[in-house]
Amino acid sequence: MTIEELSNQLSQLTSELESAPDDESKFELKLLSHELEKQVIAATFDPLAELETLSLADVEHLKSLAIGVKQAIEDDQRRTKLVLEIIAIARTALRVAGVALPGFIL
Amino acid sequence: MPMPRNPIAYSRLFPLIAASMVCAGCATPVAVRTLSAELVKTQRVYTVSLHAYFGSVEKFAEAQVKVAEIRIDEITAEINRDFAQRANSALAGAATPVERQKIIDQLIRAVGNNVNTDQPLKHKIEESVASLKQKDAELEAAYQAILAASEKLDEYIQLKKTNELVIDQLVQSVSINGQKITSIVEAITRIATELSLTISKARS
Repeated sequence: MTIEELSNQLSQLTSELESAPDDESKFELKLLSHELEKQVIAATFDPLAELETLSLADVEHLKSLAIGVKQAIEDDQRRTKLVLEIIAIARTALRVAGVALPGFIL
Repeated sequence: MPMPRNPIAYSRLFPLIAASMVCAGCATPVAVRTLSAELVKTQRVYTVSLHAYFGSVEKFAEAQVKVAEIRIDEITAEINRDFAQRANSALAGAATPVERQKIIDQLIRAVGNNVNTDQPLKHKIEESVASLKQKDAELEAAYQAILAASEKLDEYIQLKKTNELVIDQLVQSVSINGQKITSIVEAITRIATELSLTISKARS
């Protein structure tokens, strides 16, 4: 039986005893019913407390892999710079050799 | 017999190489670049949506905490009224001041205990909402890391790679563009045939 079910049963019983003469047991029952109602209210937030156990995807691995990609970008930029220099040298060499290349502004 | 170093042959060979590279080069397809850029754009927008969503949920949770606390206070007040009512009934039957004092002391103790029991409950509720906020923050941080990784990957995808740059240079040199690819391929076939014939003649 859940706290909520127990609380409902107690509330129902308290209502039934409304017409009965006041005594200590009736008072204690009413008190218990109220206390349980407070517990029910607090228990409605329990699902949020369970979030603590929720595990998230590990993104630390992505961070380290991104560093690798950054390195690859830098490597490619260096490689591109080198190739452009080689092309420039090759163009000059071809011009010196008297080779006419279509479209080239030598 | 070695082939003569003919400038005309070079000038034909150069566009051949260029066009071959256009066809065979490993340039990142436009579709890949576009998808990557759109993915990053969508993820950036999603980050904003996620932040707003978490904000709304947290505000709702805070409002629920207030409602819960108000209701707990109401129940506590109701219980206190019951204690007071019971004490009043008892006081009516009390014969001596000592008995009266005893009833009053009991009432004070009961009310005090009643109020004190609320604090752990309220604390538990507040902790639950704090847990929600904490998890939201973790989720947002994780998504930021995912976005950062996507951005880095996109940076690489959008980067003009060495081979693409070389192709661009060569393509520029021979003044071709995407629309001319078909005619270039035809030219390649023609030049390749011509080269084949030249080589055959040179060998014979």
